[in-house]
Amino acid sequence: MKHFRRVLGIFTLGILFLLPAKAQQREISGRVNSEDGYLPGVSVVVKGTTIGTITDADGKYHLKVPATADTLVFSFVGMQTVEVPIGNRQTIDVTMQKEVKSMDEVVVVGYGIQKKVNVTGAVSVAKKEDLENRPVTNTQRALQGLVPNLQLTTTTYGGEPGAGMNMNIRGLLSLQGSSSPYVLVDGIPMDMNNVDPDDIESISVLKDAASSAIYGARAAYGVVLITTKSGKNEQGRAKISYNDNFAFSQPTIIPEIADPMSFALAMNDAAKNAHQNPYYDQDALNRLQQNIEHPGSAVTMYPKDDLKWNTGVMGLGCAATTDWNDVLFKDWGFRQKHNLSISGGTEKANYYFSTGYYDESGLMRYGNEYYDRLNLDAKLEAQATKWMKLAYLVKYATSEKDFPWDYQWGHGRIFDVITKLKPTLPLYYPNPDNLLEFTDIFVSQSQIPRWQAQREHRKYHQLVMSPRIIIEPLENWQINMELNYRQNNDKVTYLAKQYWWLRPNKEKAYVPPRPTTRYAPSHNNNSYLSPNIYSSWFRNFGDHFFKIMIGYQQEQYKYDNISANAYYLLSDAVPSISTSVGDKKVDDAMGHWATQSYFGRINYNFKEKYILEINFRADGSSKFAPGDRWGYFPSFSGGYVISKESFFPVKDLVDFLKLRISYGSLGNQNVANYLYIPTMGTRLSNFLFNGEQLWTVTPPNLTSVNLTWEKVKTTDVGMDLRMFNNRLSTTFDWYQSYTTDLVGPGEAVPALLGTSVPKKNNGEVRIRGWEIEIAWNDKIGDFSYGIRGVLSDYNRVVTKYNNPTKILSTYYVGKELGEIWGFETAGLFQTEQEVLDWGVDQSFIRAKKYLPGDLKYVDQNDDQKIDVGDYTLDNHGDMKVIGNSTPRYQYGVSGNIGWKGIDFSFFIQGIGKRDMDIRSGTMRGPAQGKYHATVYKEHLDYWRDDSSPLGANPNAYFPRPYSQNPGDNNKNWRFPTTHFIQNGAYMRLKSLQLGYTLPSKWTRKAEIDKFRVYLSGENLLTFTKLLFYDPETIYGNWWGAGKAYPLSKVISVGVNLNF
Amino acid sequence: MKKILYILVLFTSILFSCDSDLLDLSPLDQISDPEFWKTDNDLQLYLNGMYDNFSGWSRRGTGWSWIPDNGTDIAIYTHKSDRLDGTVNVPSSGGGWSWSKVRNANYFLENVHRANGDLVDHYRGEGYFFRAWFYFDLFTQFGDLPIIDKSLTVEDEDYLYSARAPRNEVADFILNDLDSAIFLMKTKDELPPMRLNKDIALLFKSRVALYEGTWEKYHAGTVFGAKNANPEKYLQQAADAAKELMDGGRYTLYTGDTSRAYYDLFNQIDYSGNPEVLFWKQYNYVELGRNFGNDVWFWPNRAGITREQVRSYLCADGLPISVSPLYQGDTTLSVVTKGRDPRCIQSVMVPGDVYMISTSGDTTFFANPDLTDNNYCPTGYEWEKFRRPYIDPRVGSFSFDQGFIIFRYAEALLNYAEAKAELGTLTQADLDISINLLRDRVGMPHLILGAITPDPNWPNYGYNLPDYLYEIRRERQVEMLGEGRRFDDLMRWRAHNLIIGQRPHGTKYTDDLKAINANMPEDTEGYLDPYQDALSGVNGGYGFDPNRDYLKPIPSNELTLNDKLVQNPGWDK
Repeated sequence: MKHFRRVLGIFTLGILFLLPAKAQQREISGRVNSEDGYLPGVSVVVKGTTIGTITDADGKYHLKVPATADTLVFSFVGMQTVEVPIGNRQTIDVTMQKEVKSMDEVVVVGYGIQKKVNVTGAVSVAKKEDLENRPVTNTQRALQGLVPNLQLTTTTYGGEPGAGMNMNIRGLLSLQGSSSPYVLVDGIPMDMNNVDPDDIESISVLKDAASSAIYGARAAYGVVLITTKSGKNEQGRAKISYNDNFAFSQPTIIPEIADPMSFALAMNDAAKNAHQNPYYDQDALNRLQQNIEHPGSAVTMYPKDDLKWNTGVMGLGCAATTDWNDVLFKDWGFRQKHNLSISGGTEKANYYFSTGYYDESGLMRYGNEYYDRLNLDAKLEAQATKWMKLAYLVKYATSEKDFPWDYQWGHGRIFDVITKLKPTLPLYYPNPDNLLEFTDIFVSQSQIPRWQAQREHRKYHQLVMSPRIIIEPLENWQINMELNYRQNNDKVTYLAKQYWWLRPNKEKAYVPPRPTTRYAPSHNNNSYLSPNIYSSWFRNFGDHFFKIMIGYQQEQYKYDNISANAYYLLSDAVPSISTSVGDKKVDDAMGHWATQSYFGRINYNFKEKYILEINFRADGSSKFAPGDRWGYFPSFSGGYVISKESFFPVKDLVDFLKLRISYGSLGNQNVANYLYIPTMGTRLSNFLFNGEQLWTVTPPNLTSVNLTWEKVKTTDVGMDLRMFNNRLSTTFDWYQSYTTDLVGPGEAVPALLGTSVPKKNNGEVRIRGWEIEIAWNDKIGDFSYGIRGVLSDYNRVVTKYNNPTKILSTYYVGKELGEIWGFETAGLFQTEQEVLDWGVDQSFIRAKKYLPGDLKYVDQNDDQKIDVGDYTLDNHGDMKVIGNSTPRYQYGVSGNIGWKGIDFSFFIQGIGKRDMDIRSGTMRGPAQGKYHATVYKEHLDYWRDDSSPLGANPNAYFPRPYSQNPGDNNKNWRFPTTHFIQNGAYMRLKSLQLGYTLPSKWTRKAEIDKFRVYLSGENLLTFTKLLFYDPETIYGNWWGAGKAYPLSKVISVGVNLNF
Repeated sequence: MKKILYILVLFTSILFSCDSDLLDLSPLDQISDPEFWKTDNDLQLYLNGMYDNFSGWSRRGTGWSWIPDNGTDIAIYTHKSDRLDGTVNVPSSGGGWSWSKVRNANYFLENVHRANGDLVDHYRGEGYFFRAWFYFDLFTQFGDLPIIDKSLTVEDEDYLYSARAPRNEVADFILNDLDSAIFLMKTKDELPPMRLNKDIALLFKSRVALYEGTWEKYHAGTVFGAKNANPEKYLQQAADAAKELMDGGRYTLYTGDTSRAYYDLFNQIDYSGNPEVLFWKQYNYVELGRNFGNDVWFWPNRAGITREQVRSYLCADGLPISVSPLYQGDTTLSVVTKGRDPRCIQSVMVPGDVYMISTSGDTTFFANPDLTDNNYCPTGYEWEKFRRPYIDPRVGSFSFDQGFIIFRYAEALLNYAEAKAELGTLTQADLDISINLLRDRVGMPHLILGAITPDPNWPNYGYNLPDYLYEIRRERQVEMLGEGRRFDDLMRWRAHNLIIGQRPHGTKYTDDLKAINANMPEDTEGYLDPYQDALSGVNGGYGFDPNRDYLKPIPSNELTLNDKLVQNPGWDK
């Protein structure tokens, strides 16, 4: 593009030389600026004449104009033309704005670029402006909500520093493995989070089969193409760009724990309901009250004996008043990012060098968790000969993550355990000599000592190298040869050192036992090598445009992991395998897969009015048996720019209207390697032979010899519309995808087989959805503004599945994915009489007497008995579909305003409708065994009669809690019920940014093209009806709701500097 | 322009110089079948994994350990047994109808001939043992079974869709495998430690044969009876197998101080030198971590011994409690074990029993049962058997390493006596080499044929027994308490009279206990009544259905898939 602009500039200059100059003249000079810095090649012309010049490499111009001249016209391709009255001025500086909508906008597509007007598939684009300056961990977080029907949701890692997200396009699914889109960065598959968002030029999301078919078997779930920034011909000038951001973060939403006294009384009620003694006896309650009124005036806990403290379970029965949220979370976490890039070039060569650094310390005060990442990128391109261009890409990314670990239960346990801390547990041990005083030693239940001693450390390295040769033997004929190589070397280390707690006799108690201290590193290496060769040729025959592309690709992937477990650290200071003197175990995992592919594409259009595209790809994969190895994936799409027709009626209103239709088929090779080869697994026995674990082999399963590709067939109908002088632009797509040959269970065979029936390709799911994107951009004088909204929806129905009994525990034909089967309830029983009057046998739910405060279940089939029948579609007893957890009506709204150097932007993201069945994790509050129980403020709304010190609460939301796990709580919590279905809809102000660009007349003096400062925020506001949880981390980590690392609310300042 | 050609040729040749079998990749870290089955070491490798199938204590970290025999008349868990209460539903799949282990054994037996080495025969014997072990598990659940003697594929339709063979054919199939195992396997001294051996197969054979023999005898004429029943054949096999083991002389009872030898037998960490233990499962938490530690330290483990069991102990004079002057009643925990069979006090926690011995040797004594903890004891009769009171200095709590006995010699003695008694060929000499050895260990008077004092409270099995058989069964109930044999015993003895309408009870709910927890269910006589409102049968007792619940239902899906499969009696299709 830039090249084209420059040619135009030189052309304009050429015309100028031919013109005679007039006699009476004066001189005007100045500099032309844009938001990216000074603009070379801008044509500066006296209005109504041919007198003019173009700006030099630094954007400066110098022009002699006739005295009569009154207006200067500045024009540049891709920019809005500016007219400036001359008046008496001798210096005229101009800042040019990008054109709101360029008809020549191009879109990156598979193996090439295409003019947007000619695109016939469903392709959405996110631009660098949307990603820049966001104080977020990674690209995925910045991309969330920007592209309709590209869903990014938190993983079990929640908002941990460095945590990635789950990605999915259009609800496409696999019953096997991942259904994430295929992500290519500059043509090389990799994790998009290994890219610094500041280095990204654009992101194309290929959603329908037609646009992603060129990637065949890798692209069943859509494609995300990320193009990073490149060097340009700056006529030898180096452009330096520096961006930074300093951010302060806090948790978005953490449930608030009830005050200590209410907590104690609620737990006592739960104990009473479970026929147990109160956890807090009168003495403990008195001491607690005393400590609430006069902190530190009563003993918080007593020694049980010389060796142990009477801490109860996680502080049950103690008398402290600890605000654990306050203790465990920092007031502010800190993040920073920096990106420095230098780019430039001449006609012969260009370059882009960039260094990015990101550093995030987490939210926990004593967790010491952090994430940092360093990116080093270089892109070089040289015109070696007239017909040959050479390019070389190098990308290096390294990141590091440190997190507390639990040597018995692992990473996920960290956020589980802190939900179990009771507010009456003291933070420090009392001084054994005077129990009213505290030591400075954290109680071991607080987990803090453990976090210091037990850590998980991850270190990632990724190196990508890609030499590329581009040959143009003839005009319009290009041959690309690329060798894409990626190497990942990761090291994960688990370390469990000893820590200690204080015994009442003042001895230190060391845990874990010395022999179980552990150092467990694993080295995970993998490499990806993929030569690509593809060639394209295009030609116009009159109004007919043809382009043909064919290519070949092969991929080889290998992984090789070694992991070790070494016990009994001799010294905690130097943990290593060598310094471990206990058992040492080494294990490894190796594997590989390969593909070979042929692909091609034909583009045709007539006057850019009738547009056709055909893609074809043939893929062979090592994952399938010879014979089932090759898959063939064609696609077709067409467009009709009806607004170009002469008969099109409202041309003054509608600038552009294109109708699109596409159909295509894709494959998915994301199944395990070697499924068709009978193998015997090896593992260590769990039975000890004379103290030793011996190795064992496991017999082979029946092999899945006929397994082959899952296929996705998508039909897409779309429309692109631009109106009101391109100020309004709209894209709409409706699609239907059939995922066929889903890898599912084989035919049902009697259990006598004794092993799982080999998998077969036999399932089918239909997905129907739509997405709409509307944008309005305008400029009134100095005031420019824009607003953009995206909205999407889909639903998914199983159309084929091997489930002859239609059992509800798996897929069945007609199942709408996400549906929640459960019982309808009618509130809580209030009296024993009401239980008798209800007249329905609820013993299936829990064979116990129902009491006031327990749930009433509605008898759907009038048999006076609640049950699940056969749990099949034909006989499901009193169960019915009570909701659907699929997120519906996902939307994003962004807006921006610019006025004289001030810019403001916001971004809102949300989900319109979603039912959530939350019965896990902390949702049950006190209705759990004493170890797991917690009481949030909202939990105090539980059923109790007036025998409770908290007073009767007959209209409660939460039923009668039992201090059992789960025990009698099964009466109320065992199955999904309408009572506990929560509204999971939300709206969140994801980003807010206010910036100011200093006027160029000031910055120019310091040779600075652009200097912008800004203030930005993330996740500042959330609107949700959900009880106490963050709607984005609801399903939490491995241990259930409410146990995920919180997302962050962030406030940041930053600088953009170009010179 | 020639250069273009050179570049293209070069690049393309690099591309295709990579091996032409680019897509033919085989696993790098897994053994494929053709490369296996070379030496007897390969056989051992394969079999090692099968040892994982022996049950033991619950793994450390689950919070409490299931005590064997929970869910019977003599020991319970905080929740009722659905099987005894007749509230099992016909499952659509699963429900114990699992054939993967049988398949694994068959796969082994099919391939064992491919290996060479000295121990091939022994390992082949282990293979037979395992097939018998897995089959017996299915057999006790379902009765009649299809005979599957090869590893099946989807194409083996004649097997997959076959009918069930009658139970005595299945029993013969299992016993036949055990005969092969006994013939092929070596003895303890010829093998590495902890491996299965000939004597274990003998003991297991006596268990299987006794099971089928008594089942055929007591279920005769009912829907569960065997066609062409021949109980004597099996009872004889049971007696013979036990006798062969006893005559082998490689195992004896563990004896010592009569007031504690029995107790000491069950709470050891290492049984490798124990003369009575044929086979056991080992734990090692400290060195190997959580997967190798158990939760049996978590007393009382939500478990309790029932009042019915406690009442069944004889008094120290060999007389039943209703007759003996030594009996002091059961109004408090402190008196209930006084003057009783020493195994009573060695099995049940009563005040004054050792509760904990600290690392420095300080002893804490038991005062009251735990009625409040999550893992509380539902009957108030906490387990003393299996309880190890020593604090392990390495972990700072009770040990997670206590071993689990899978086979012990005493069972052979009990099987022998019972089989002989059932055959009607029991002699005093038989008792003296079996039951009376067990009684000697604890200092109880001998059982003398012809001098047995009738017990007015002999259990009402629903049929009458000779007096010696009542006492042999009592001996088994007392000696093997909590060792996992009781449920099978109830089933093979057709003892539903001990279940239907009955409810397990606990200790006297004294004021002392009420002070600990005032909210426990109590019966009209003032004893703990943990299942008071939990059972579905008459009188609030177990709803066991004698025409149905002796066998489990076959999953409904299986009946749909194979119309030759017939559901067990009493169950819906």
